[in-house]
Amino acid sequence: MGWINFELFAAVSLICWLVSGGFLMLKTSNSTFKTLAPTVLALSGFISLMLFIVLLWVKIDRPPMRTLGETRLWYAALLALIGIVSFIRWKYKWLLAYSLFMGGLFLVINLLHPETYDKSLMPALQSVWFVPHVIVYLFAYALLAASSLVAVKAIYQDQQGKNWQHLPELADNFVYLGFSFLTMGLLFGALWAKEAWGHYWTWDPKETWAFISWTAYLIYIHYRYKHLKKHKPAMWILIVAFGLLLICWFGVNYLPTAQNSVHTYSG
Amino acid sequence: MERNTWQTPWSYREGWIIVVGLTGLGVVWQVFLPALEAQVPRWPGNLILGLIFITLLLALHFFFAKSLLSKWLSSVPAAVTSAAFYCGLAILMGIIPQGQANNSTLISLLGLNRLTTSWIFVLANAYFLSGLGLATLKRLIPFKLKNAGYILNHLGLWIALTAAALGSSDLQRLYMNCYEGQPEWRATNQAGQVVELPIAIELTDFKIDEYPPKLTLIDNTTGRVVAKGKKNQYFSVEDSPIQLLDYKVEVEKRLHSAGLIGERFEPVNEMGSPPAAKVRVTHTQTGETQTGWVSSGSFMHQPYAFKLSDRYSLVMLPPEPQKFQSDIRIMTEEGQQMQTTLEVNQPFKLGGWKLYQLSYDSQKGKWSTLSVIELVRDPWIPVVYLGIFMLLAGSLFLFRDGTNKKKAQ
Ligand code: HEM
Repeated sequence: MGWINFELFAAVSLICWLVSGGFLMLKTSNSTFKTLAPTVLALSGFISLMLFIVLLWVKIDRPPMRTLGETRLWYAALLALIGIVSFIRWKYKWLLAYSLFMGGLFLVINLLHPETYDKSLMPALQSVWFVPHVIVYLFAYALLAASSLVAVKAIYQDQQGKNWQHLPELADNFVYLGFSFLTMGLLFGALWAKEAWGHYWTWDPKETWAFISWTAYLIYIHYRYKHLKKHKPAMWILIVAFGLLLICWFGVNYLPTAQNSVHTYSG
Repeated sequence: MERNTWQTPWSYREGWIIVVGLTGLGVVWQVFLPALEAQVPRWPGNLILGLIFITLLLALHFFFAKSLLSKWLSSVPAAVTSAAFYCGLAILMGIIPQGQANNSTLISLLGLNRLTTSWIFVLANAYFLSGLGLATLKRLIPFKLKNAGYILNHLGLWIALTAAALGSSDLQRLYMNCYEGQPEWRATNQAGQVVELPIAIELTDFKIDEYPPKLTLIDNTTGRVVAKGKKNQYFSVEDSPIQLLDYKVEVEKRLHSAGLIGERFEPVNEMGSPPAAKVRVTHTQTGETQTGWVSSGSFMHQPYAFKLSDRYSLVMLPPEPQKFQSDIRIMTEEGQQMQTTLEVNQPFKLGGWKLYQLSYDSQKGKWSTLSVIELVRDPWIPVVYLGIFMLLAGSLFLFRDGTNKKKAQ
């Protein structure tokens, strides 16, 4: 029946990203090794993964966005993409290295937990809103994850006594973009809920946690607007906000409130 | 220079004290005046309440712009602390199951298991919306085009949240159990009371499309699926031949609706006849082949497993619904009739109501003669949607000028 071989695609991506990371570590002034090689390799890994996602989509005849395992594929790809774009744009080596590492980690998790790619899609998910709602959320989470990588780096540099004053501005770029997507995801979700369940907002546990993470980033944006010079508290707000986002992303299934959620999927 | 608490301009310290104060007030209110329920009045009371709120905000903005209250409420520290207040309450809601009795008397007493209708929540909402409203007015009047993104975001959010809060008392969600061939005009509301409607609904046909059933291996002693954690736990019968652990499974014959006759299945077309399949199973190590039947069973018939060895049996899982829909006839009091089909994600609009396909008798599955229809009336929804679409437009601005703003400062 011709199963698509995930191991193969994942291996290509992992090797490309590993070698790309190796080039990033090189201390050289040769621009081919310094920028071109890691970019091309990282991009190849990204393409290999996207190819798998597209093939899988065709194979299972529904958007592969339903289970946690499926969304991990997207995060791996999108994180790599964000790393690549910001590497081309701002030349941040470490950010590319981290996002490839995180993306690779997601792939390894998927390799260790192979899952059934089940074709069925419950009727409530069969909606024009499904793809836009999930895609903007995937983008938002990947961008906000990148912003928190920046915040962690900033705090670390601070403890090392190194200069990190240029980092918050980079974090802002990710947060503004990410928050924009987060808002769209939340609202698309509300519009969809109205069509599928009769009401746009019911404080379902997943909705509640989505709202919580949204307010946390709202706080960051306003704090930054008023106190552009107070970098350190801002970076801490960002780390806490990401902690809340992680609960929304993975943790909701384990909370006492989860039993009643329409959002608890098999993972 | 050190500033004393309450010395102007107020900042975070005062902000947190206000949050604590409001929490205290909410608790006292909740515990000592439980008769005074936190409930928005119904139409037109909610409209009047909204107009009073808007008037107060406009008055503060135009006549008391320099007052401490105006300045404070429209400041960033107030925005940050009130958003944190809201966020904190949401965290409680995210941890404590809502809308059900709680064993802890403290939680029940404070209303933490029904937070959205508690006084703390009302106060947090009022504080948040006052701040947001005044912050909006600050840049709305006089209008400047460069503030467009700001206005879309702040005014949009204010409109959406205010309308949602005020409109919550006018929201009606009713459930109607419709049986095939029996017109129904009584529905149940969320409080469990029966409500009679000016329309009647008759279910003419309820249909389910199902996915092809799946096959899996179970352990004979535990009854559990054995390939747990493996990539291929179960397969659709459509994907034959399939590999389950050491067994290659080929589907030789597939029946959508079958009855057991002796040791085999034959096509029958009766209510409750489950799907069945004839399979040939080959052990890939030994090459040993066996043929047998599996059936998922139904509400009328037992499932039928194929015992492959002392350890394993092959079973068929009940098919999952792909789509369910109800053909209905609607009759109004005036004698009008119309016909439509309800489906999940495809509600039907009728006057101020929206009709949704909610559920059916899941025991009976595709033989269900019951369809549960939800009727929703939410007259404030156009206002909420106005706010939502303003926010969506605003999020695009954020996209655009988020990065440039910082540099301009
Ligand atoms: C969708 C939600 C929101 C978004 C996207 C948003 C975005 C922003 C942005 C980008 C700014 C900076 C304005 C500029 O650069 O010109 C700002 C300022 C501000 N926001 Fe928000 N905000 C939101 C919600 C809120 C809420 C809920 C409050 C209050 C409870 C609030 C209160 C304020 C205040 C007081 C300012 C400063 C305005 C000034 O000093 O002129 N915002 N907001």
